[in-house]
Amino acid sequence: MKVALAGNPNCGKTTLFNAITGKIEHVGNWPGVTVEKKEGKVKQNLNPNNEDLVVVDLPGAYSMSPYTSEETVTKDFILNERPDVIINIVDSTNLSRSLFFTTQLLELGIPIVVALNKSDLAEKSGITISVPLLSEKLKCPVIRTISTKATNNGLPELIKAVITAGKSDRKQEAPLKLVTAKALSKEDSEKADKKRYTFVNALVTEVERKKMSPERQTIQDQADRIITHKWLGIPIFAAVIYLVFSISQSWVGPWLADIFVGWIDLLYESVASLLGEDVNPVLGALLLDGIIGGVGAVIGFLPLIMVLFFCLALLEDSGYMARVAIVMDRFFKKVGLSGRSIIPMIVGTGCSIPGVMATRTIKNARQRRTTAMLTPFMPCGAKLPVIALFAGVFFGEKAWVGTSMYFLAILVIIIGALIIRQITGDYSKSYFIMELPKYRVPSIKRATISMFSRAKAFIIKAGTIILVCNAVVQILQTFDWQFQVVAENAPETSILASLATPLAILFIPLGFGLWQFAAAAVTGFIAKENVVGTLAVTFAVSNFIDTEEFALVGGSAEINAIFGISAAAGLAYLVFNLFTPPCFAAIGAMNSEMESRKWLFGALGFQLAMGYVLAFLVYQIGTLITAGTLGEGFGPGLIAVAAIIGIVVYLMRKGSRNKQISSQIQTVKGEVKL
Amino acid sequence: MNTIDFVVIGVVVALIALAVYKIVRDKKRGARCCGCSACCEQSEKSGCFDKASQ
Repeated sequence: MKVALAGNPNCGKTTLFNAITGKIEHVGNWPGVTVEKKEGKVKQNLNPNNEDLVVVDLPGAYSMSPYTSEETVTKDFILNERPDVIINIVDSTNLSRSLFFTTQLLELGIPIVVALNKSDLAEKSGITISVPLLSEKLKCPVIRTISTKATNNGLPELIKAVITAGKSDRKQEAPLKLVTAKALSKEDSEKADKKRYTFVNALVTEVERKKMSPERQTIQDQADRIITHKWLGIPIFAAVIYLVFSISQSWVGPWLADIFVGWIDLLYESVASLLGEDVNPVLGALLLDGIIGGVGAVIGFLPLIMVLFFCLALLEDSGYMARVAIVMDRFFKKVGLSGRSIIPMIVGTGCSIPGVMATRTIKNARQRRTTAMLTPFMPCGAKLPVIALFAGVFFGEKAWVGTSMYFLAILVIIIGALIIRQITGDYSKSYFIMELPKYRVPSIKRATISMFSRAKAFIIKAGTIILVCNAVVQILQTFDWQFQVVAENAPETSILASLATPLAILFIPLGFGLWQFAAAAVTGFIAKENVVGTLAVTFAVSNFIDTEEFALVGGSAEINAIFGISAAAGLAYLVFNLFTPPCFAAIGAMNSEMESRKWLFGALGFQLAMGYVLAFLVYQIGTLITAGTLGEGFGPGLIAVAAIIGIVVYLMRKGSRNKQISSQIQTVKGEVKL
Repeated sequence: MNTIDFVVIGVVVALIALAVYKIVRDKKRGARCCGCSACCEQSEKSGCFDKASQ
């Protein structure tokens, strides 16, 4: 039996899906978290008779007339796949808005079971809904559910009702008989919508009783007035991100990392003593420095990342991140992006791939492609070890480094959007309407689940891609082209060094013209964590976290000396890795969402240019401030940067010219018609 | 080459083989990335998998 979960965005579909299937799909207290359908089987304890129940979680939709592509996924699935039963999830705190979609679903003839979700929140808000009366009026079973609760949540009753509805031969009756939206003209469709609204309003008046609590409304509204304030919104966001980075990278994170790295050290030392002196040095180095050291250097940052993800999950669950979208909308609208663009970017702070995929909620093709191009600029989870390493080595774990990377990313996104708008000559605007979820006390359980699932993903990545890459890097730096072991005092003769050196020359104006940094930047395109792993292998540092000194990078001065670059160059290298193209997997996601090779190659060129220019500016200006002189390679670097800017300006002018020509053609066409 | 060398080679080859096996298996299943985010490991029908494989 195929059961579809359908309902408005942010009514709790994925939370209910997770609760009845035992899966841990990503949830968030905002609309638009799910953009593709997901499948799972109902848990044994909810399905004691072991019925064949496959549940499909669909993206949120407001109606059967789709506006965005994820709403199309929902509509297409329901109409083409014809599930045996639809669980229509209705937000009890917003009954009148939710029931519009319900009336459309009821007309399809598919058995419907309504899950009156978030009924605990409704109760707290003083809303009472007469379930029997609602069930009678809608002509379908209505079950009260609280999908966030472990017990007494109405889920066994819901599944029972679903099985009964699925086995019954009775065709679903519709309380309101209007022709499906598909067959109607625009005018008729509007008339039908009006009838639906009238029906829903009358129904809600009958079944719902509200005890208005002006005080409660005022607290929520007052909080929103401050948090989404046009001047206060940004400083509040900065303070929140700073606090998150302080907790994850200065307070709790290093403390946990310290313990964790102790275990990695123990493993390293145990294996080293097990091997003893008898092992071949090349093989010993491959296992100890390449695999255990390289993977360990990346894994060492896991506690910091877990704490960060835990904090971000709490923020998402509290409803704050939805407010960030509102704060950013003001700026994004001005540069030709949609307010919806902020959602993929927030999702992208976890991983760029789902972030890029979330761009499909944007209808305008230019805005969607621009957002897919700019979303990878947001520092994702994979980039966090790189941020933590360079913040620790060069800036003593200061939380402002991580925070400023987020704000630099926002600035780069705004500048990027302006440039792309000018190049494409598309000045179309769109308006962003988002239903703000209510603030709530974030769930520790949900945040913990989110944190552990991301940690698991991080460990899998370290044990697969990172492990293989580090082994390859270790082999390439151990041998020369004659496959002879490289002499200890001549590492530049290795295969890796000879491959990376030509690239390193290009990085001289950026302050990190060493082959080790060039090699790490290249392996970073496979997975960004590789930057840390490759630096560990090439500089022979098995551990970036000093356990004895109880600090993230206690021996930062020591590692700083090993790296042999200035703080300005370190910051430039960090910026380069954050603002050049993302990993190959994210590039693949960009390719599918952009649906245009021209846009994809344009995006990669743009990202490379952006990373190079920013790193050049950071290094040269930073060196000028700290050393009172310009950095090495300023002249050639300036020529390269001027060439990049020249190309961008040319493309922007060309875009404006094309725009002028097309508007002239439009004017002429208009005159001819007259 | 002594026994320990062979043991080390065996361990390294096994680790790399397992890692490559996991990468290839995920790729064949249509995974876009290897454990990039919470969704990847959970479901083949999740968004982290190519539409073609669904």
